[in-house]
Amino acid sequence: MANLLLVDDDEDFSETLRDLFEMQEHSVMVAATGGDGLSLLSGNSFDLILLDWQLPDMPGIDVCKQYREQGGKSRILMLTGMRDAASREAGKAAGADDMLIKPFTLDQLLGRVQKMLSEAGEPTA
Amino acid sequence: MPRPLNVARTQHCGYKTGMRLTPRLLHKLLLLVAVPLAFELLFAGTLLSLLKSAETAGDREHRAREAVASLNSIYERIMDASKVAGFLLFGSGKTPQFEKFHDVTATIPSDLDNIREQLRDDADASQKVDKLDRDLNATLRIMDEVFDQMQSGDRMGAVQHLRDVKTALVDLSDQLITLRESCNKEADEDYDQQRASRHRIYTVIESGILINVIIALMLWLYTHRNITSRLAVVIANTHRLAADKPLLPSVTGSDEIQHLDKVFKDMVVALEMAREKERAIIETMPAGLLIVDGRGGIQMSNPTLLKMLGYVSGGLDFKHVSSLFVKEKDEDDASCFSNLIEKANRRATERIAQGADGKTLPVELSLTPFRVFDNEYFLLVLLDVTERKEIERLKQEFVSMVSHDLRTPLTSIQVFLEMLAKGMMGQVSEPIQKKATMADRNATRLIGLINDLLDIDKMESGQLELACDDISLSTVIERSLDSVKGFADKQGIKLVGTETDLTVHADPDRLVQVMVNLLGNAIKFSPKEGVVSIVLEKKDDFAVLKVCDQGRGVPEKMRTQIFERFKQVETKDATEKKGTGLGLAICKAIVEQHGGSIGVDSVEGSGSTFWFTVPLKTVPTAVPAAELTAH
Repeated sequence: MANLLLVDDDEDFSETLRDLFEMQEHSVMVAATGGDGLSLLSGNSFDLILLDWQLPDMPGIDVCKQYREQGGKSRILMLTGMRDAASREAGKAAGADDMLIKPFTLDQLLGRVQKMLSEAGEPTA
Repeated sequence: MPRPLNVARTQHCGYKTGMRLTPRLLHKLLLLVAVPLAFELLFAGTLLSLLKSAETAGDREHRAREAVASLNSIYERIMDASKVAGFLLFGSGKTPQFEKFHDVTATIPSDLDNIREQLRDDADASQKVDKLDRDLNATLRIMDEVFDQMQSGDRMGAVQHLRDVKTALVDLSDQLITLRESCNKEADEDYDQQRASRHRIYTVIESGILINVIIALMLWLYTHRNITSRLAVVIANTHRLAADKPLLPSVTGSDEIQHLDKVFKDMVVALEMAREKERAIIETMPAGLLIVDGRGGIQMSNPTLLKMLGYVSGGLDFKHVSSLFVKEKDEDDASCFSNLIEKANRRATERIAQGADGKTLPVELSLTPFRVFDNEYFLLVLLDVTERKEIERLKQEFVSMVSHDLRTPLTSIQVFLEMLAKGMMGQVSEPIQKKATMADRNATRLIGLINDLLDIDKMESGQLELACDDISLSTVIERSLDSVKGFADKQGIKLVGTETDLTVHADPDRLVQVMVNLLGNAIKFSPKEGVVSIVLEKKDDFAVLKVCDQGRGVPEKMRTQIFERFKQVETKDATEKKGTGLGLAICKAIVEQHGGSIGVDSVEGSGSTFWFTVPLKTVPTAVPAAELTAH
């Protein structure tokens, strides 16, 4: 049982993932924009944040950057379609803990989420 | 573009004509030498003959005159002898008169011999001399008898004989006169003949000079008409070609000059054709063309370039090449030109060009230096790449769209289908679960296809980037096995991994991609209940990763080809096993970009071992593998 935040503008995608995580008995909050995400982050504590790379109002890495600048410590998993090294470096620099490249399989997603949640007790980089 | 047939044919014809050529010019030159020579020989022969004739006549005249002198001498002796005989007849008849007679006649025989010698060629005169000799000797013999009779005192007998002597002497003198007249006549004739010969010599010399002059004039005319005037046409044509004027009509005849003229005309045709071809190419080629001198001054430009940069014809004359480009930082005209030479020499480089109206456009520029005698020139080719840049931008946008916009819905579909297939959405009937599994499999294929196409696009555009780090191979193997575990279970294949503490310098995601591809292939082509194992070796500075299967193997002829794009081993169960045909090509590109190599060892029918090498980390570090993946 963990608190998850999913920030993604694709409603279908968000719904599928929320269903999935709720089946796993996690608590899921969903935001469709970067701004909504940041306001949810400021008032709540999450064990893991799943953040889309490209949001309607701002890039995902900017959300990540602002959250870290505000002192946010929760682990962040970026969900992206960008597979190039530069994007990966940019994500790392913005403070993301890991990146999962779309499209991913159910096993890949659950495996990565499980791994990050189990590491959540440890101090973040 | 048509082959330069005409040039080749011209050369060929020239050669063949050369082989058949009759050396007519040589004949003409021989004629020029032979005609005067023949005439001179005839002239000299005639002169020699006339001289010989004159000399002979002169010689004959001289001998006749000599003979006349000797005859005159004998005549005088005979006259003297006749006087002595008169003294004897009417004088005392003493001995001294006899002695005197003998003295007077003593030289006559030698004179006669002289005359005979001079007149030896004249048979008639020789006969007369012989008769004279005989009569003279007879007269002298009578005188001897007179002497004997005078000695014996027979005066009457002596007188009788002396009268006979007198008569004989008169007869002798008559003979002498006749002979002398004959000789004189002969000498006069010879003299006339000499004069005639001399006259003829003068005539021949005068005619010879005249004929020589005429021959010289005729030969000059002949040479002029046949050689110099025709050569002048050929020479004039070379000047006319240089001055770009129309050529004179072809020279007539069939000698070397005509051949030279023909070869020259053929060459002009070939030159004209080459020039026209060059002009057509330069004017119609879609690239801008510039020729600049060693200092960057524009010497020539083609219409495409003028149009590209918005100049009117002649608008680039006397301009410096650097004025056509936007200057980079700290560049002046000279350094801009030297930078162009340095960057674009025999290879394409991109640069921003500036048009006449200041408008800028991206161009691809390449430059080739060439020399004309001691002067250096550069040929610049400019391609307007505005359109290409736009296409590249659109392609980039498309790739970005595919990367993001296509992936998110695909992920939704796949996650949902997996949830459905795994019964996470609640229990569904078997046919629905079966269909959901099939739809999931197809979604996976679609994802693989998109990923492969995007990777290939990156490989082709040279944008396959690597984020290399020192990474633990055990993590790579673990992640790879995790990825294919579901597929292996489904296929009933046992996966056997390996333990290792090797660290390599590589991009972990790309390495996993290679491993997953090789493992996926191995699982796909393994028989049920088969085993796919990972074997790890260390070789020099490389780690060798091997994926071994028990499949049907790879035929030897395909072992290199399968790493090329869209090449797959043909299979009977193709429908079941098919993929994009890009997987191994992508693996090869990734491995090679890491500095490694990839290959396959196989025994047909009993399995394959796909292997690849990755460079080991260069500097040993003590960072545990767990920390590397933790971030």
